[in-house]
Amino acid sequence: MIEVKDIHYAYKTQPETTKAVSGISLYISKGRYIAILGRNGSGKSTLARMLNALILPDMGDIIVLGMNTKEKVNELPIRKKVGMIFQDPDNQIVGTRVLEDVAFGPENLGYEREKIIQAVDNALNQIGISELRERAVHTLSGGQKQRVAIAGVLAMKPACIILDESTSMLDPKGQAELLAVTEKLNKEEGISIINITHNMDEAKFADEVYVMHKGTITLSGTPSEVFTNVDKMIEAGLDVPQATKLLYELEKEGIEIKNLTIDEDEAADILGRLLK
Amino acid sequence: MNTDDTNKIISLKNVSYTYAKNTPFAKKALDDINLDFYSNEYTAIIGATGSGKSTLIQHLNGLLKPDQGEVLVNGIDTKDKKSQKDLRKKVGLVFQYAQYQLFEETVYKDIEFGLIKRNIPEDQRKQRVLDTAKMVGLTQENLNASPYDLSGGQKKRAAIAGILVLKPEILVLDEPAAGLDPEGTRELFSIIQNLHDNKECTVILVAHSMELVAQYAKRVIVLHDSKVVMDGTRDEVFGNVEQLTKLGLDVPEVTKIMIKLKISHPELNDHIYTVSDAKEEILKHINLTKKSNQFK
Repeated sequence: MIEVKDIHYAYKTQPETTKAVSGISLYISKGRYIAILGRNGSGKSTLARMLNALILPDMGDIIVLGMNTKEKVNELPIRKKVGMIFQDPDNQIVGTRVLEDVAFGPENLGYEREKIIQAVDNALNQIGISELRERAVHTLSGGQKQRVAIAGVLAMKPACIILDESTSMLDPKGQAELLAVTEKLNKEEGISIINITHNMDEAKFADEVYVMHKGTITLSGTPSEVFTNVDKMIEAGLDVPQATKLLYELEKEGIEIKNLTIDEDEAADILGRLLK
Repeated sequence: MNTDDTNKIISLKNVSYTYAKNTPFAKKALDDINLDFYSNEYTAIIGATGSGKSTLIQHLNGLLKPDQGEVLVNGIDTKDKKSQKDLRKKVGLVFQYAQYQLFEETVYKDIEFGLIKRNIPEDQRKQRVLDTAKMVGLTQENLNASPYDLSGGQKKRAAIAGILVLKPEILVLDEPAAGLDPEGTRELFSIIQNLHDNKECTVILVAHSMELVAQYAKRVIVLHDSKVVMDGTRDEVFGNVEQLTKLGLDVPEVTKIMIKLKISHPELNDHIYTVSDAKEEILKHINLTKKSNQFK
């Protein structure tokens, strides 16, 4: 669905040598749940902004549903298909009431009134926040605002939703609410999710994880493949689950562990066998 | 922990606080809180969203005043109008997203701001800014930069420096890890640890990550529905897994592993809260098993 071919990008305010993104290629198929992990400054947000044509690569190509992001005529159709949720809940709400905010997208697509209302109600319903329909946006919690933002994207019937650090300003409850919504949209509606985060707990249930470090992808695979590569995770400034860390530390002490795991129960089993 | 009265620096007595009092939106955020804090403690306050954590710490420097009861800082009531300036100096409060509150042209000026407001002479200001920058790991280059050119972790440290430069006796931080990546979080917590170890200040912080709390805090206070429901050493609080779970809180993952392991290996200590302690405990038992096998 999205094909990224050897893209490079440097911000014009930075010297040419410090590229934000330097030679990334990846292929995202339809209906997948992808996590892109990396610390601040690793280039992950730059990559996200290129996926829906907010910025264009200096070199290389990004093809979204057969459309190259470099062609000006493709810009709107791509943004319609690839929706984006940003970090700060207060910076992406445009309406004063939930209803108006969610209607903003379909209105701009020139839908008729009936169709707009239908799209809004469907979106609110799918996300399970119909009861917020008439509420003033400023009375909502951060987690609720982010779900309203998702409803706004959903009302435009996207094929893919990108979350760019969307949970990082939310408390644990808000984080859990937002993630539950993305999982539901992925499982039930087949919408691809690309979650860009530095929180490993959010990457644990993704289908595929990519780790970014200094503008390149240094690791990729299933969560278990990625997190058990402890050295590379630490090099990228990231965390691994405590289960994995414990087994890794014991291995460094000369204890034979064979297979690292990211699962708490498996770790307990492995340790249990060691102690027998 | 030295808990005799001479070391008591903050005391909350029957403190209650309600937001939007006398309106239909009234919400009780603190309900009859009694707490004492002592010099050189390292305390973490935990609790679910809406349990009253942020409201509580905003009472510690008089930013919020109790509806009922009193808060005493070094014996001075926070309601005393004349002592407000003194209070803010003694208790430095770092907000949750302090990294977004930098406003000066350079990081240096931002840290210096509080000193100017307090009429500290120019010749003393420079040394204090430089000393504080060193404490939080900011370089001369960082000081000359615009706050906008710093990373999230550096911004957070600059914001904390702006508080530390005033030499508070008590440093209060609301969810210091918010918005920081894992590396930035590790750096920040080791700086806070150093401040505590060098007796620069007493540390009181609100945190969501049980792993971080277990690794750093000596004392843990649990809030639930606006009340203090647990208060003790780290081991006392995290040792009570059943109650924490009932309150909707978690224990570190490594603790859960040790609890599971103890079922088949009763000889193990499962009061373990950090990865390094778990490693030591397991190594100890592996070596014991080896030794006893040699004698068989």
